Amino acid sequence: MSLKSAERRTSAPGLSITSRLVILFTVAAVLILTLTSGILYWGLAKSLEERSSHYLRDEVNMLRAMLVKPDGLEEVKREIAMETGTLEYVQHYVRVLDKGGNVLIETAGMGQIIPASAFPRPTREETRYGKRAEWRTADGQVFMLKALCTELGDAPDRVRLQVALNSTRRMKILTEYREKLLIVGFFGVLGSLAASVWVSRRGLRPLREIVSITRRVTATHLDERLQARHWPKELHELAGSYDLMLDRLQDSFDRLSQFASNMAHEFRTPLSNLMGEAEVALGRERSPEEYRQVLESGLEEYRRLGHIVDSLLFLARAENGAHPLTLSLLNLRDEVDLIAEYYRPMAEEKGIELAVSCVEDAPLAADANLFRRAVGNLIANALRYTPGQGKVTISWALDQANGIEVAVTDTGCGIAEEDMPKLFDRFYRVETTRTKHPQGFGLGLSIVKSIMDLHGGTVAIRSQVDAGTTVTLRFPSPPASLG
Amino acid sequence: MRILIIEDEEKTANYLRRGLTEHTFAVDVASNGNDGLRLAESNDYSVIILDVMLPGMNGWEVLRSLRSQQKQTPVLFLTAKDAVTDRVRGLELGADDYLVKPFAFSELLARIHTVLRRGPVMTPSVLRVADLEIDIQALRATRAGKRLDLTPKEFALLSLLIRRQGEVLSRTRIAERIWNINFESETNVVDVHMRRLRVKVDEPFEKKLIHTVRGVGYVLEER
Repeated sequence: MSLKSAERRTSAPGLSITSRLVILFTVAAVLILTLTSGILYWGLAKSLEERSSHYLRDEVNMLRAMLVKPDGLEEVKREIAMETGTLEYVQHYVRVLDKGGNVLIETAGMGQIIPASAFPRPTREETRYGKRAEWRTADGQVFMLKALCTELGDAPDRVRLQVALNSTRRMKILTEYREKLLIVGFFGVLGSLAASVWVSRRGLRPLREIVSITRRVTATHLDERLQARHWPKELHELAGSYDLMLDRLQDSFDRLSQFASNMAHEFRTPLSNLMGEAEVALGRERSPEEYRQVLESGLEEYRRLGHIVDSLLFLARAENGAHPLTLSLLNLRDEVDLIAEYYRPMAEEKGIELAVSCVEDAPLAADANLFRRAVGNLIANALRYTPGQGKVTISWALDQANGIEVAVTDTGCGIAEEDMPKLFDRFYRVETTRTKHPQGFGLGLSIVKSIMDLHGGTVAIRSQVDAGTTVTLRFPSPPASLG
Repeated sequence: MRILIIEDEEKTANYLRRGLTEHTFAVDVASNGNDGLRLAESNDYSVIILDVMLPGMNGWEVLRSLRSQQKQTPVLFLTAKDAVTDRVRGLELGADDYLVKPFAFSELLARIHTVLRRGPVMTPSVLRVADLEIDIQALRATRAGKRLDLTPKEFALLSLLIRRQGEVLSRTRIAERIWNINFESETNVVDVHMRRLRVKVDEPFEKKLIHTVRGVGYVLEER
């Protein structure tokens, strides 16, 4: 056991639940923040661009409407000059080219900023607004460009109209927005990190409480229970099963210490007999006959001690599965008759009828020696606790699952309700019988139980005070290999 | 007959020596494996009683070394460990029988007799002690010429006692031999059977043949 716990201690613990939760929370926060910022940024960019695009389209439409009028070129020239002078918030540049590519009119200074070749090829008239393009100048200004062919007044010639819209401002807005988003995102992630640390610490607090309660549980302090408190739903079940485990442990511990003290008691009686008799005998000179009596009495006590040790060893071996089990198909009728015959004189001496009530044979797979021992112990018990004129009956029957139930029924004193759960405990003896039947020492039923465990069977006791007791041994159906 | 005891526990060795000497055996004692092996090699013993846990050379080694020299002296080993593997190991190494401590001296004596008696033994069909006579083949027992009315088990019990006359039989051994019950019961069922047998065999007669050896068991002999 100590080896096992040492192993457990050396294996490094995995990542703590708190860290796991924090990591997961943070990853989720980063994802959500990135996604929302992305969508917001994209929406803003889209709407800004759309606005510029509308503006450009309106400008183009207006210019074209002017150009198709007679004397349109002059009107456009006036318009451009006017706009240049006003220094509008949204700057735009206009250029009109003839078929040969010569500039007819252009906004002042446009030639240095945007060459005519930067514009996309003009579309035909059918596509009303023409293609859009973008132009970036050396000093970082950005323009949205549009070009198209259109008629010019009453002249049959077509001209090319180029309009450029300065969108540097728009780009700047977007850049600033991006920076803000990054800052917000950074602090958002930091904030959610802190929040997740706090939340998971807080959420896991019951778990730490469980750990601290569990630490308090020791062999001498087994009455600690978890369910006295109100736990969250998830831990409720854990607390419940943990408490059940503690119940079982406490029960085993209680039994163990009961066992030890009972055992000490069973050893103490013969030992004190031995010591006392020897001391008294040595107190003065005695006749050989007296010495002989002391030795003989001692021998009886030694036998008793030896018998207890044997029984304990048997139980210990049976418990850790070290006792070999030689299963064979037994003739139940013969076996029971043999055991009954062995005990019958004893029954007759006490005036008890010992009966075998079943006639038909049944296949029983069991270890013959252990079977005799189990049934023998039951009969011995029954004879011990049944008064004269009583009856002890051995019977058997097949149960539904093809197992065999061997029952020993007596009409004896019965067993009180409060003694029932402890009947199979080693050295446990009902207090009244301890004085009435000093020759037993309370291992009989423990041995019966061990034997049944070895066979994969069960023992059941039904009893009524002053009416009698029935002990039923249930053996499982024979394995196919014994067929 | 000569017996060698190899046992390091002084008290055990002493009482074994005394007990066996009083039962007319010549006894040598060795307190460790090496001495024991030397004695066993240089003498012809009828039986060797060998403790398993010995200082120096343990019982298994003594036994192995003895058997490897083709020394076929019967060996009865004593062990405090009631583990099945131990017993199997001893028997595999060529031991003849074993006893688990604590054991009854009468049991040891019985085992020694059994080991010595191995081989073809002629058992006469009619056995006699004083005026008690049983015919094993005819399943008939008489005392002073009068036929005793015994059940089959009582007859078996009586013939066991008469075959081992003078030898104390423990209750466990009796239960095992007669009823095939090889566990010690908390109740002394054997006593009841013996009481009934005595009512038939001894009670009507002046001279008692079946005797209780307190704390040990029963013996049938003429005293």
